[in-house]
Amino acid sequence: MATVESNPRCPVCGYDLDFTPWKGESAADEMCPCCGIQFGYDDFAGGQPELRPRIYAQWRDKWMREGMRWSSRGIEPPPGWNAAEQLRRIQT
Amino acid sequence: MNFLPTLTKIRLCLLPLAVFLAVTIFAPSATFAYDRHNQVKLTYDSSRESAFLGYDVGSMLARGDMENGIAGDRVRFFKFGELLAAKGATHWANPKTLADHFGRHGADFGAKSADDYARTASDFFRRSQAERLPTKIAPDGTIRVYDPKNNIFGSYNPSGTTKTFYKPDPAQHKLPSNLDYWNKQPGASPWQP
Repeated sequence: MATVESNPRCPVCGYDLDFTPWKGESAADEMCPCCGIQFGYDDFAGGQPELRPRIYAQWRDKWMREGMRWSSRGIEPPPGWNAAEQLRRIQT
Repeated sequence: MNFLPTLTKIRLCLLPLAVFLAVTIFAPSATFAYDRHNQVKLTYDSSRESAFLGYDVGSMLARGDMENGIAGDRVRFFKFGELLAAKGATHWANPKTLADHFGRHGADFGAKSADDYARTASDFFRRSQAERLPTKIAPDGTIRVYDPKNNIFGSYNPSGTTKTFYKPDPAQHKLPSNLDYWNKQPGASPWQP
């Protein structure tokens, strides 16, 4: 299973987060401003961390189907934000 | 005193009032708790809102440093939630994320605005500690609270600011019940020895 503890990058969309999604068993309880997943809730996966990658893949598919739109209403996307290019960072 | 001019008498009478006003108006607003285990006085500086000077009380609770029968001090610590509520401020940890949390969870509480939602979250934290609702303090200091009767979940920083606030739904967390979701949250209860 790919760890997300030491890499503050969203495992769904590849956005560089300003928080760590999970510190051990404790989630950030925050949302990715790009794809909107809430760590600790949407990816709780019944308390089984090994099932999170499947949740992330499902969320990513849904986000892509809906046009890879910026999710946050309070945080602006970075200048020149390119969703497809960002997504490639976690798919390569 | 009869030989003093009337004006001087008036000045002398007003002096204590002036001193009282100076102290109450210009003194920094702060509250204190005392950690007997570490012999440290904790200071909450309301002007900084998030600062317990010199001490991270949430981490201290997580380490068990306040487990020496000093429930009174713990209660005093949590009284700072009352200070936040009394000020009527929102006290959301990151104001930039408030719109997103409100957008997704505000309807859970019938909140009319983001500020209303944030205030409800802070009020819940204060009430939860006064009523000793189920509380867990995770190793990273995050304080999570759950009201099983009304299915309300809140996550707070050690400073008391809100991270998130919602009514859990099994469709999201993938557990059979919301109580299971609470039971799987990490950390220890501050209410148990």
